[in-house]
Amino acid sequence: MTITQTIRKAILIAGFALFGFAANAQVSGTIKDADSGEPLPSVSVKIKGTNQATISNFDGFFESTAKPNSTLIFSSLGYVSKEILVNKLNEQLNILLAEDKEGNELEEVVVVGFGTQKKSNVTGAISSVKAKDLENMALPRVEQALQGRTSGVVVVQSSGQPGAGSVVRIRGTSSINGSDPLYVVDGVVIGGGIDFLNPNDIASIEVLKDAASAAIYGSRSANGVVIVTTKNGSGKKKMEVSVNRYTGVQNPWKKVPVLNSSQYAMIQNEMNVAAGLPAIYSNVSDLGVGTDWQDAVFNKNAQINTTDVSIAGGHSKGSYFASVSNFEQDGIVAPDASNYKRFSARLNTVTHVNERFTVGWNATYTHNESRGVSENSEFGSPLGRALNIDPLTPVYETDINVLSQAPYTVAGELRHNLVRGPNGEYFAISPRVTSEIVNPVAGFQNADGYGWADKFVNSTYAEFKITDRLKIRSSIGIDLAFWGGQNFTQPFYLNATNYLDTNNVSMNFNRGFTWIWDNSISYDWEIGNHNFDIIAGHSAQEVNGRYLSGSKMDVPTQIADDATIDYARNIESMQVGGGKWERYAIESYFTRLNYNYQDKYVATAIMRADASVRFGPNFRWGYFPSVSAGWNLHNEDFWSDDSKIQSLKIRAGYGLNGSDAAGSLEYASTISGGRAYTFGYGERVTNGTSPSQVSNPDLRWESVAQTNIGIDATFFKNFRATIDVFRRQTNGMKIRPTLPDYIGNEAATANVGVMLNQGVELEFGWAKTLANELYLNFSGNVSFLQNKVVLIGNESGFLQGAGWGPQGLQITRTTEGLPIGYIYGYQTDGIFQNQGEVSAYILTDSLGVSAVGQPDAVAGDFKFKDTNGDGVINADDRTIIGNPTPDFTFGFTANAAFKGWDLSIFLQGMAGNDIYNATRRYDLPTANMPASALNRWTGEGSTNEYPRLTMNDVNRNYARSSDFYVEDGSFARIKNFQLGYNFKTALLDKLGIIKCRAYYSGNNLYTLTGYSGFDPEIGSGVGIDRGIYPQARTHSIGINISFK
Amino acid sequence: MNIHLKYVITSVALSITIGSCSRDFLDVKPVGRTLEVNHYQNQEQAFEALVSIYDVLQWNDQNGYTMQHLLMNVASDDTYAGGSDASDQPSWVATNNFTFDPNLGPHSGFWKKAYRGIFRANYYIQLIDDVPNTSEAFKTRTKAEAKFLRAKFYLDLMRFFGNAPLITEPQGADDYFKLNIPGPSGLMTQIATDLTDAILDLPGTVSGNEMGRVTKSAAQALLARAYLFSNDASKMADVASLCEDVINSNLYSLEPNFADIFDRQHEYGVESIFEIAYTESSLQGWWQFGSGGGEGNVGTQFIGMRDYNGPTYATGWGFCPISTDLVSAMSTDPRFTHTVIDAAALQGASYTAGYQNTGYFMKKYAPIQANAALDGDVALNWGTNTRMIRYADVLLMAAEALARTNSESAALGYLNQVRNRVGLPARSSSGAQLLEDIYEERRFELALEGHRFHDLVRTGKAVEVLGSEGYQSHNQWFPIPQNEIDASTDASGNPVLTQNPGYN
Repeated sequence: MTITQTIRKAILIAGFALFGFAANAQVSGTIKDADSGEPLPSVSVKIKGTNQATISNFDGFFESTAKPNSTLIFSSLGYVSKEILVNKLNEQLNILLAEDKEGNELEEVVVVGFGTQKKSNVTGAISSVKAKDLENMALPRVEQALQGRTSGVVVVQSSGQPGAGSVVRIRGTSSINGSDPLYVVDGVVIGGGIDFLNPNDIASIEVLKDAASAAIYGSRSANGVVIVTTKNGSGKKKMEVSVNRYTGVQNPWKKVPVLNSSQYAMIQNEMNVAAGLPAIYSNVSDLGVGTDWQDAVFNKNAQINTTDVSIAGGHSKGSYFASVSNFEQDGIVAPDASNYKRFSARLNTVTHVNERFTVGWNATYTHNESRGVSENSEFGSPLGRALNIDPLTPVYETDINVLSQAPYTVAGELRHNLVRGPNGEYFAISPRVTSEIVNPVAGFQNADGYGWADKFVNSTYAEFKITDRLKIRSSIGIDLAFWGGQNFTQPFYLNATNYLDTNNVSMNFNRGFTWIWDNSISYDWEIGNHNFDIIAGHSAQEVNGRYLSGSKMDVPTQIADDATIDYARNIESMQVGGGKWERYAIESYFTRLNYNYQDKYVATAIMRADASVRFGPNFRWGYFPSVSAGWNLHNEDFWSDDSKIQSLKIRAGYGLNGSDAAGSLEYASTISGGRAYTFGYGERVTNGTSPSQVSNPDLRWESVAQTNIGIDATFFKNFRATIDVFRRQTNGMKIRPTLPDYIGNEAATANVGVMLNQGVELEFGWAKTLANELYLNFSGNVSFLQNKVVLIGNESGFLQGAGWGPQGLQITRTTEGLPIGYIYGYQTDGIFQNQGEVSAYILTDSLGVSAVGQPDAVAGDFKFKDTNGDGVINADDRTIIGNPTPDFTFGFTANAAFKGWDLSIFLQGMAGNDIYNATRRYDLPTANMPASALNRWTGEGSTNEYPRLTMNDVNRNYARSSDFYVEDGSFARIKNFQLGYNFKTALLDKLGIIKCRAYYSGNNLYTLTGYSGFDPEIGSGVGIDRGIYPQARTHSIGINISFK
Repeated sequence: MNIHLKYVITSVALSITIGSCSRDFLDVKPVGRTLEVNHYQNQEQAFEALVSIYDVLQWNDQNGYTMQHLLMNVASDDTYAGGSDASDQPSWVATNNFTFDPNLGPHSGFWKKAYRGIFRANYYIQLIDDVPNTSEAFKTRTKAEAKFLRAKFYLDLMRFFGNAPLITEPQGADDYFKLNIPGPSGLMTQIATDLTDAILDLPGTVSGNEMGRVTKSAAQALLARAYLFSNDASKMADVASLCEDVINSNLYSLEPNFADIFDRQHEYGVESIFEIAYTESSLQGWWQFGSGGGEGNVGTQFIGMRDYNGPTYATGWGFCPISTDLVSAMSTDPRFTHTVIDAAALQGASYTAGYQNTGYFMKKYAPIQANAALDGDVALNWGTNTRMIRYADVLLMAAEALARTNSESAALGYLNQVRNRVGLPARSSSGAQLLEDIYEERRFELALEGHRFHDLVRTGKAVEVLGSEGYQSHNQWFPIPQNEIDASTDASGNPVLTQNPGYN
């Protein structure tokens, strides 16, 4: 037999024997698509109860060594699996596979990291989202594919700003040091998020939620692992071209009611009078409505557009997938100052050089550009300003008399740097509200800046079957990213504290480079009905980066495109900075053993060892084991086939995961410069140094121990359900103790904290095709989660959280025994309705001494609770007043298809989370207020909730963090509604068009919430709303066309 | 099967990396920084550690704007808070009307700054003896400088807080909550020990490139100031003798022309004993604010007239408007026009009235257009040095101490030197009137230099003078910062710091 013949033969051979190429085929046949009759390549043909499997060739032909009376399982992604009993030797089978519309997920193949597994044999808690779940969606970003679709995964848009990322939390917040999952794209561990991916390139996303499955990623798996696999053309025979395009308009869905001019003047008068000052406005009722600043700041009918073209196909030696896509989105805030563009191109190929040797690569390039405005900040975001600036100030100042005075003029001349609108009109400057609260529209006029990124990610691999059972694989992944920004700021005068006299230009460039090299060897064998497969491997990764930035003042242009550092004239103003990163490196060994007894009993054991440069010298290596097992009851002999329960699996697992989220040299005390002082007549700036912190050579990974118990079931034919219960405890959480300032130096971080997350997750679904071609599918998930910080390990037992405002008012805190980042402040107990109630509020201390609790209070002030019972109202009475972690999150999808029509509704939400509404600058008494201020206390019995308003707030009703600012952040939102129609005509057929679908898609159509701010979906800032950039309501129309 | 073999070899070769990562693959090399354990190996590096203590002197940005002498003006009856409006700097407004509380006010910045400085000084004093390749002379002198600086920070703590912990070594984790809080007299003991040591080892003069480093006279004068403000009548002889040591060193004299003292070109002049140095050349930017980085003086920006447009000054932020009280008390004094800007009298200039505007502004330290930084953010990069100790102050301290130890003629001699310089007639008073005369002289000679508030406190006049602004006797000290009390909670759950009286 020649080599060529051997190869040829081997392609056709099905059913492998150890080290054997010889033909002992017993059964052969052809597999075709039941609808089109086309041959199906790459169909898995497996002998039931064994590991022995083969795949169909390009012509749909297969051969198997199955003996008579054994059962063959034919399965392929997107098709309903089929089991066929082999009757006799040399039987010729013609298999027709029907397209799977309902999705038999037991037969789905799940990517588990360094390999795949059939869903029914998975013993860990892995959620999966497939391309078919996403193909009709208009998704700007990949993370959104996970939003509300899988239990245990909370995805919250960090803001509505175009290009803004999402906060992804798998089974809660596991650490105070960051809880972002590990992203692995086609085998490459990706840093810096996955927004470089084109959502249409995704074949599947798997989320490894429990320790048993995530342990294969060792010291970086503590927050769960998101494995993204991109498409390749396998399973297709001919070249197929797809074009997807949609275009939409976005609008804000809500305005926050604030005081109008006359209301504002009335309240301001009242505040002055209450403080013993004269009223300011005499003509309150004539002032009318004034400026609607939110109208002025919002951008109506902002555009969103995507065009995506892809080519996929297979051939006798492999398959390919290529795509290009272009995505553009304008923001709904600040026209022209907030937008995002992304262009990406991808080429994935697989080549079967021969029956044993396969090479492939997945390569993608992405360019993006984003312009953004400040958001969720009390210090000058457009929306924060819009809520706080007074309505009396117009957007533009047109009154010549006003313009001829300060602050518009200086020494009798108009200022040169007044900000002007598109028609040359001058933006008004508020004489009432100061500091960062400038004219919100003027505020985003004069900065022309954008960020950009170019990213190239490539994964190249080679796989060789030494024998049919013994395989080696090597892959090299590369992630090369360039990113930077450019800013050109024109002179401006916004108010006395916000101005710039000379323009300046700044630019920065960064380069990050990662390589990751994985090598593995795998082998499978069986002993009787006991099937084993094992993989062992080695992985190494290195990350390097460098950066350069500079700026200069006085560019002789007003055109942003012309502004470069070289063009700027002020040599003395030039600043430059640059350097390189301290290198990151990690080396790992890993192994995984799978056991399967007749598909009844399945078990997996994993061990990984990691050595990371981030760990201290005393703990260089970390070890991460896990074990898990499952029992497929439905495969037992006692299981009756006519059971109402078609499948039932019970699984349990335990493992350790790690997190190496630490800074470079975090364990060491380094010498910090920049402690300079000026000596001598000549003013020599002399460098000084001092230690950065105390060192800690014992610093190591944070470890998460997780137990998971789950049940997967299908019943009554059309129902499926998955329930998982878990307990995950983070040990050795890295904490930098809040050292008192009197120590004078920074403390070292240490592995001292403990955090606990416990939860229950439920996924359920129902799918059925009714006789009259009506197909229905409902699915949903609910996740309950409880978070508790068990131990902080510093002496105080708490960590300061977020502060607010120029004085750094503490509004969140993390304390032992309470949920992470809870909202912290005073509890109020209504309002003193009269002076008698103030005098009657007597508190008694531990010695039995009684005194009036709030001697400075007057009627209309808050009554604060003496929560610690020490007889005085002071800072020690601050306590938990809210929890930003939701009690449960949910997602619900309904799909219907009838003839050519398809309809889907996707609803998502969370409940039981609190939001601290920090949108008003209480420290600026002249700042505008929410319309709810009209409900303030005005006299006995007027209200027990909203205290009096005064310029002299001695009781600090508003200046304390209190439950007054805390609101319920629960919401349910129709995230997406889609109605599409598939055209099927003879003409289209003739043109080779196999799919032509037009659709309407609506995002964020309805939000049910009691929250009074712009949007309850607040990802960043842990439950604090400082004036967030809300999600847009989007209406878009799109078309999907595929042709051959 | 040789083709077959080719693939095997290719694949196996790719796979053989197990154990092939060389040992230094996991070593991390610091970039642009060194490990503490490898540093401080020679005199030059040791000097860097010394500089880091000096660095703290010029911080004005801890937990907000914390220019010490300006805030002390605000606390006194000499200036108001000012700024654009009542909400511009709440901690300054709170200092002005004594509404600061454990959470609000400039004191958390004062506290943090002092202890950062003390840590660096403690670290240096512990480190320097073991640094190799370092001369004994260098060690002796620089250790004395570190002690001077430590004493300066403890003097601040003594006057601002009274009950601040005394820490004289870098603290290990076991010691974080074992505090010695000896009260103001205990702090004074440490200040005296440090300065007495420093006086022995400091050079008499420095020159040229070393200007700004500590001298013996600076240590003597600082110790005199500490004793004076510790308000211990039994130390007046020490104050007098320390001041006379400075006077008799003949290294200093009064600037012939009073107006020159605060002139940018007369920094380190004949009258200057110790200055906190700033420069307009460090290109400080807002991104550094709060870090203690940058070498400019934002204080000068603070006190300038808002939107000033005219020939002489630069525009500022309108803080520290002069009180009508000081204006009426001092307007006939020859030093008035060199101390205070009367905005109404400016020719060809305009400005915007800010909060608490009186039309009078600080002239000492005022932003002069010609001195504005050419690069970086002008507001943050004023180079004006703060005259921490000057000769006139030493003369007045000497006069007071002598008057309080019944050496009235010597006291009058020093007092009249100060008066004589500006052409005022000599005093000849005695007894209580002499002391009153000296206090008045301090107010006018040292006006707006940040001494007035603590002068009122130590002479028992604060309630009388400042009561109408909200001062109560417990306001002699600031409250201990609430965050600091919170953070000082020990293993048993109790804060080891206790709040100062009157702030609970």
